[in-house]
Amino acid sequence: MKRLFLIVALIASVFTAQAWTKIVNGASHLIARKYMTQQAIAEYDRIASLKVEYKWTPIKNDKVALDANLQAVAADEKDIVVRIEKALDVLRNRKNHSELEQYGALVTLQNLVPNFHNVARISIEGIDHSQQDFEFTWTAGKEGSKKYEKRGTLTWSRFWTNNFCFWHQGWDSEYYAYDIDLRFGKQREQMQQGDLRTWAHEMGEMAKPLYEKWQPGCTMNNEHRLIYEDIHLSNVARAGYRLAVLLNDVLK
Amino acid sequence: MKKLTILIVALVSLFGIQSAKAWNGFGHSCAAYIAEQHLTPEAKAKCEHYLQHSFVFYASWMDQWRYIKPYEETSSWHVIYVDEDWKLDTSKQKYAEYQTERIWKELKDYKNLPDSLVRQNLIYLIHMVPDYHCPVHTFFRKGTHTERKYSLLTKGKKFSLHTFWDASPGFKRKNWTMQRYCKEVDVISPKLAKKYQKGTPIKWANDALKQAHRVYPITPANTETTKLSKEQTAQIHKLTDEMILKGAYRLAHIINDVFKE
Repeated sequence: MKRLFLIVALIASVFTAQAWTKIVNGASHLIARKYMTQQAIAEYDRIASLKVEYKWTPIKNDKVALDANLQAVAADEKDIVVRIEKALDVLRNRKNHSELEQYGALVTLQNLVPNFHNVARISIEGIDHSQQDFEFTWTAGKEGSKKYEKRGTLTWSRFWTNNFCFWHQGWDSEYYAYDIDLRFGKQREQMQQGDLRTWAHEMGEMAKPLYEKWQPGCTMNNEHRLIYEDIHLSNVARAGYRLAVLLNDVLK
Repeated sequence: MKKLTILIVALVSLFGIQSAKAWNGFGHSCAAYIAEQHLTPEAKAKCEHYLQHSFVFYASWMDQWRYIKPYEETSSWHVIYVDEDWKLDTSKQKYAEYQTERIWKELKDYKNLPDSLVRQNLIYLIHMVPDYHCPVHTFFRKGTHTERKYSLLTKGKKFSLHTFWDASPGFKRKNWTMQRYCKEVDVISPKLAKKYQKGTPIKWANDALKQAHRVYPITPANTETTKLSKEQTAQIHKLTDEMILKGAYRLAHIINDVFKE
């Protein structure tokens, strides 16, 4: 267990921009590890322990670009799908790549597979406000209640990135992983089916009605956060289960 | 006499804060986590079956939903009330100790209840039992005393006594997780744990009322909380930890009793 934490800490230490909070991102990694093969874990640990000088460079507001039919279009080099596919290619063909490249590919997957599953990272052709972050009004209560008067501004990306940990103070990644796996474990095999492209389409189907419902300048309240928490947690589960599938495949 | 005066002033101050939460998110996570550690394997499995989440997931659920229909009426379930004679007011049956007793009784027949009701009742207990052990969740009937504000200070600015004690489980415990809190605080003997668990929700509420009085001499009005002495900090932790443990052990006791075979 100590070794596991060291490895997770090692990878986490290079994070500077994450899909979710550090704790929740860590949970998706622990979930992935639970469902990785022994062989993949051994290879993962070997690469994560490489003594290389690598600095993860996040791209602000990087996106999963989808066309109007919710198909991944891999718009440019910054696209999350493109970068995940490149990283998978490096790890699949490790013999042809340096230690630095292998390490970088592993860190890329650790960062981008969670990002891929963040609703706010999904960009859909024809929905302008999905292509960049936007602000909306946040209130604690519903219209007519005292709490409604307590209001502020929140951004769409912050809502889907930091907003759900508030009520789970004191949790660490391990407990998050335990809770999320308990909640979604029965759906694991179903969530793991498909490939990166079909998962991108699925994320588009999830994000599209949310973008249609919520526009810049709208008002959301606490009830919406509570309703959407299950979507958020299911995406952390998807990220973990699917990271395991990807790593099991390329770290054979 | 001086102590009594301080106490009266302090108790009166609670009038204006009926909408405040009790233990904050961290305190509730800690209490539920400790309770979870003391569930029987059978009880834990049953809880996970009904909740479809961990036991701790629902620690703050009632605070999140209390302003949203149809849960607004549960706002009074977070507290215990004291009447004009400073005795527990059980007349209205809408406060935490009564609801705890009612739900405990109802859950004993859980096999004949719809799953959704069992789940909802568990969610209530996970929050409510530790909640009414928060020392500032003993409320005193409005209008029986002068409504004087009782505040503490942080860097010279006023803030409520309630807010301070809500956050007391994490006070000067930066970056503690609930696991660390459990490891450091849950070190009582099985004998003391049994003593805590003895009794009924009403008896526990009377105990909580008794312990609530300790708040005021520890943090008198206008205490500058950034300048608390080591002794004061130790006293704050002692009371807080005792009440978290009582809430947690009593919660575990109820759940274990409900799901005993």
